[in-house]
Amino acid sequence: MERQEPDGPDKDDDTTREAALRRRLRAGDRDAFAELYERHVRAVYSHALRLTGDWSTAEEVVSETFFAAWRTRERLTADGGSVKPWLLGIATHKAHNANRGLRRRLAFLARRPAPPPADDVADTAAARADDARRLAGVHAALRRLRRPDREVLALCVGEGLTPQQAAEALGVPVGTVRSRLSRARARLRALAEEDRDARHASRTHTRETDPATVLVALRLAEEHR
Amino acid sequence: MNTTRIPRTPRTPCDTPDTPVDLGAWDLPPRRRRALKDALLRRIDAEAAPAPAVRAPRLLRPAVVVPACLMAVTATVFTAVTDATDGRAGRADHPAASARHADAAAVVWLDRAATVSARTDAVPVRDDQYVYVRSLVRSNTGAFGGPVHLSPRHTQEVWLLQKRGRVKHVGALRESGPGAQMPGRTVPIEDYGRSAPGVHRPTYAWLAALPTDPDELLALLRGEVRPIEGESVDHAVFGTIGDLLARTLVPPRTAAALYRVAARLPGVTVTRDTVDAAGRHGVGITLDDGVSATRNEWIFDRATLAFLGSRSYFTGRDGRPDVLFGTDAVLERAVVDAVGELPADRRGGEAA
Repeated sequence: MERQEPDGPDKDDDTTREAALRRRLRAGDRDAFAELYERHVRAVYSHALRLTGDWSTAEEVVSETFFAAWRTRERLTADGGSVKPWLLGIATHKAHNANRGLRRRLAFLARRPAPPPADDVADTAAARADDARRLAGVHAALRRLRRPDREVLALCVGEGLTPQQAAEALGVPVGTVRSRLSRARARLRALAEEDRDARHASRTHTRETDPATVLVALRLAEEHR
Repeated sequence: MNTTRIPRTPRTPCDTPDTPVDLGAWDLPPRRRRALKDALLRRIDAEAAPAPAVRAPRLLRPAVVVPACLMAVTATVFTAVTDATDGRAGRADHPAASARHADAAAVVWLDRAATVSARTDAVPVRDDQYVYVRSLVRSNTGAFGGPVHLSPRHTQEVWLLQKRGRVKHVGALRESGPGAQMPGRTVPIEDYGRSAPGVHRPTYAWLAALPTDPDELLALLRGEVRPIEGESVDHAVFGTIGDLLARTLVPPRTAAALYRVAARLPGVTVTRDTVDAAGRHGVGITLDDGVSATRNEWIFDRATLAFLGSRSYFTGRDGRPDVLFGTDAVLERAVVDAVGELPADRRGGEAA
């Protein structure tokens, strides 16, 4: 079944669907796994990209995350809302471990699906040119944060989890999530200042994809709160 | 039923709904998305197959790799205990944690291994050939977040193409025996990003061209490795050297230099007696930097000083013992002409 990501205004219906998905997954329903993938692959992929900054690594994280989710489906609690925090929690750890070492890399390359046909690659390459610049900017900004802070920012700001959901994803208290989040913001603000001063001093022009874009956007946002 | 609302506007952070921070959003190209899904479904179907021995074949993880399952726990504990570096301060069972230099005995053993290796003849390897390495492997098949469960011992064979320049076709991998992934099938290793010879595609020629001066080589490796956070650069260097020793054919002079590099790493120590995945006993060389969540141990034959294999541990804390999560044993290394081809001479060359 080919469900797209949840969309549209009917959140109650969506909540019901996620709860049903949770039950079916726990029961080992293969179709539920396919639906889980269709509903959340975009979120997992985006999250993985922000944390790893690399397309190929992000694909590995996607594969490993969904596979781990399937193998540990019994650990899902029976009651609960969206499975997304749980899934993104797994993805966060997978991203942290991704692509380490030759032996792991060989195994990953060997089990990755065959590359797409040439035309798809060409389309992709063209379509990705802008994306790649954007990604480089986002990743460059995020990597300047400490890992715990970066992960919380990616979950809350990147994927829109609530602090409670991020706490659930990472297995830490919600207060910890909040303090990491504010630390991340403070740090980004400070970095944005530094970048702006540095740019001013060197009179380099700002490209749209500059890492500082993220930071400046944040800084402005903070000022207008 | 809980009624947690599902956030669906990625750019709207939950706690400050008006903040227009843009961390981007990406999607896989449609075909890629389908291909990954199909591959995943095949994986879970393979796992659901009745043969109990193949219950968790897919987590076939190379032995030195940190399997996410326990790593998750470790990482969480790490984060909870400390945000940066002193998480292991309480450990008493690893004096190396505070050592500033490689242990003297370790230096001696590594130097002996280097000397023996440097006397070994190099093997001629052509561009169009493959380096073949056959190993016995046990890896962690435990569930994500759960305790370590070591797979049964199985064979892993790797063929690595020696061609210069960037290639898509990197080589092939085959596993057999209980606990293997797709047992008996020779699976191509393809990198459509195309890899050049280097740390991630270590050809014999690339290895042979590395500096043999240990200080130069150490500097080079320090620049090449990508440590994960919480891991020291030297720990990553040690891990990389271990990978090279375990999955390639290393020119003798390069191997000697690699051993001498290892002897320069702070925290390197000797284990008197340890055992590889094939049950062969030997001397262990390990690096505990006191920070990293894992520790690898290389095993050398006590008499010949040949590299036998390795063991990988999650480092224990608060006096708790380290937990073994993977082990392997190199049984054979050779140069062959094609993927799937086996060395004619089974006497093999453990003496890399």
